[in-house]
Amino acid sequence: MTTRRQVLIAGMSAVAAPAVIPRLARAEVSSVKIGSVFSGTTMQAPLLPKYLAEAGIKAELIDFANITQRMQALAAGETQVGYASVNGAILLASKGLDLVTLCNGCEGGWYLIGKPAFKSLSDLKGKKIAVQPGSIAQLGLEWKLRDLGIQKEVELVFLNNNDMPAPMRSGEIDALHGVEPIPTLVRMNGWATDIWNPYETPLGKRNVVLIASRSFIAKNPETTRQIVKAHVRATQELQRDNSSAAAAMVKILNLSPAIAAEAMKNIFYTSDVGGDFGKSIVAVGDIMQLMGQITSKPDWSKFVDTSFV
Amino acid sequence: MAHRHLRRIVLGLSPLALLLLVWHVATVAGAYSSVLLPAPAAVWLIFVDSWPDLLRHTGTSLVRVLLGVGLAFVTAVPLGLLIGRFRPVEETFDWTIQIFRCLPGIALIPLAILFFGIGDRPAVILIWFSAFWPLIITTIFGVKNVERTLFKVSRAALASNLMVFTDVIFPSALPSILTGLRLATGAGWLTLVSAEMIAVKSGLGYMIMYAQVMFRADQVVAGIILIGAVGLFFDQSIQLLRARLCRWQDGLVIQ
Amino acid sequence: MHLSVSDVSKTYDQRGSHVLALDHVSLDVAFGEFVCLLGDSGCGKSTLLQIIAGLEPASQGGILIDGRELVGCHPDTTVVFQEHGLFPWMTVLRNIEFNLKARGMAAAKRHEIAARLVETVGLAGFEKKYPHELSGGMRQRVGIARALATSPKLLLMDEPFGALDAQTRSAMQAELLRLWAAHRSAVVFVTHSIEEAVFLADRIVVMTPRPGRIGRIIDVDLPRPRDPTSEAFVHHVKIALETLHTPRALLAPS
Repeated sequence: MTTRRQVLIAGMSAVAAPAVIPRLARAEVSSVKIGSVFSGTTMQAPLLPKYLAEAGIKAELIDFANITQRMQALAAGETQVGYASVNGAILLASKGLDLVTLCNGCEGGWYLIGKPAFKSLSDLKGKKIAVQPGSIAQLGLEWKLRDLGIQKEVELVFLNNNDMPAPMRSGEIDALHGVEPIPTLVRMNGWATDIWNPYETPLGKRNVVLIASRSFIAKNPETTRQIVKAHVRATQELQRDNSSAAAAMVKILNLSPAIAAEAMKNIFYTSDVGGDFGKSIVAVGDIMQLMGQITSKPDWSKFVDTSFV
Repeated sequence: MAHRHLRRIVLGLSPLALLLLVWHVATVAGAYSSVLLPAPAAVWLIFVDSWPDLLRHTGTSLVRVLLGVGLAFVTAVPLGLLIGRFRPVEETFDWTIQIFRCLPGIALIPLAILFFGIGDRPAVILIWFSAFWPLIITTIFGVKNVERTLFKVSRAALASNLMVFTDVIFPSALPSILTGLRLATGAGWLTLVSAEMIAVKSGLGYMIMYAQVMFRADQVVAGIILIGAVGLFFDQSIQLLRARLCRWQDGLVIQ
Repeated sequence: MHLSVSDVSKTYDQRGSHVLALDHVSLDVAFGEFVCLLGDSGCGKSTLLQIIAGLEPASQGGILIDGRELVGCHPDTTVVFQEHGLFPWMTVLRNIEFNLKARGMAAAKRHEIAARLVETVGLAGFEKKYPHELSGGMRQRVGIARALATSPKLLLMDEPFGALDAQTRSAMQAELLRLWAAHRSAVVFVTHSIEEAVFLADRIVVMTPRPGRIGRIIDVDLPRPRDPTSEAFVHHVKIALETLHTPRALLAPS
């Protein structure tokens, strides 16, 4: 006996199958692993499997404990596609890894806050600023301190992002340059106030991009197109309504909804690759070289490929 | 004697030499990207070019490990002696010890920051924490294995409680305590890498962490080799110490 | 120094049931006397020695030393333990010094006494050795030297030669008598060897097991050194043997 439910499922597949499956060439993979880190700036990641399923691609989301592990997994080929900070991707590409930036992902998402006594970065001479090593926030801050000529006088304290609130609260550090929702959490708890708008460097708000390896793209052009498409749709969903991202933050980081909602105001999901997107990535590379993080630059023409958008 | 010495060195180094060979072949064959696995030569260059930095990092780590393990020794051993000797003390602390000894240091980083702030203090505390448990457990074990007759000998001799601790329990438990010290030092080095992630700017753990972030696999491997070498040095030193302090065991136990 | 065991009983709790190890035991030992507690295993002879030493409390009755109730260990009493009870991490010299150190004697003084005792027990040249580097007989010499260091008035010995081979054992027995003659104290010596008891003792306290009681006290009034092959010696061995193997009911109450 055929139940109504079975009929429904059969009907759905009948509609969906012809629309999706022929699009994928037979040689391409049917499942992908997406590497990410749970953070406010990579909230498209949990949405991707949903959109990729519509294209007949099974996607598994792998959350890594930290950004270094995420990049290592991508470099080792354990994940095929992933969200990465643009500086991390450039770092690996400059060492010869065939990484390709497929699309813009998220802009902004960090802020420098500190004890209320300090009104500007120059006030922080002889003081301690916490920053997560390897983050885009570290790069921007080091550039700015150098620009102000005070990089020797300010002590950068390396801490994991989530470890920053406790020493800020106890006053052991004077400021923190953290990734959302940490700055918002600390600010709304009254442990620190805004000191510097970190987007006023040549890095701008450039932050998270969608990347994949060149060999994967070459072998799976159609899958790549579907991934980028799913990413764009996920981004649009968040742009329309970021409440799902805020809810995830509340749940996973145990935040109050008010803090999550406030933090979302400093996170700008985007898939915009128009204008000077490519140029801004080159600018990030320039700064990394200036700061001694890389010794050679990646081949920019190969590193950025926005043709799938 | 010289022959035995030579054999020890050859046998001891052979697995390491094999590892080096496999490593070399893997890099020559290009099995992994050099970003992930540097060639032995690249790591060697780190030692040649950056030895002052390596020396500085090793020095700071050494101080932290010595401090942490030293603190563990002076806290765990007296407490372990009391626990092993007095039943009510054991009943008081047993469950706590069994719970805490299972906690990995890295899981305690957030708490260490909360209670001890950032920098050297939480780093030393974390090393102390990880070194404490093997030491206290082996100390208790050592005390429990003191031959019962010797307590009777002490009582019949009218020895004071203090003398029983210093002249009977401690020397009797010493071999076991030194085994604990070996384990504790190993645990200390294991925790070092996590401990030096908390806002310090030097040390092998810090060096490895930052090299990881900057994808300097050559520096990572150099750091790992240094930690291994220093760990081996520590272990051998404690063995020597044991051979000296526990000479009375020569021929009694297999060392 | 006079030792008086006054109506001592001892019960153990063993897996919930009471075991009577000693049943109303009374005994007097005068200063200078050599008394052997003889019996098969389980007769309570070692338990009685532990109680006299103050290492175990009596369940009933008590120990009087010079008429005073014994609490804990007595400073004029020392014990030589079964299997010697030496500290394996201490050299011969330091083992001998232990009892003196426990009494707070200065290092130089106790050194001097220990060095002299090493000579006395024939271990000159072995001062710096550890116990496991010595033979069984030598270890027991160290144990005796340690016990003698405090010049005890009562020497308690718990089967000290039980683990030694026959030859070493008889040499040690002769040695012990020599030391006893020189140091003069009361000795209570536990053994399960009849020949040993007859060779050493002024009086043999024969104990019978389950529960531990005194079966008979045999006076050994033989001149020393005693010849184990002599008729008188063999006669005493026989008496002791009979006592050990006679059903309790036939023994006259002591």
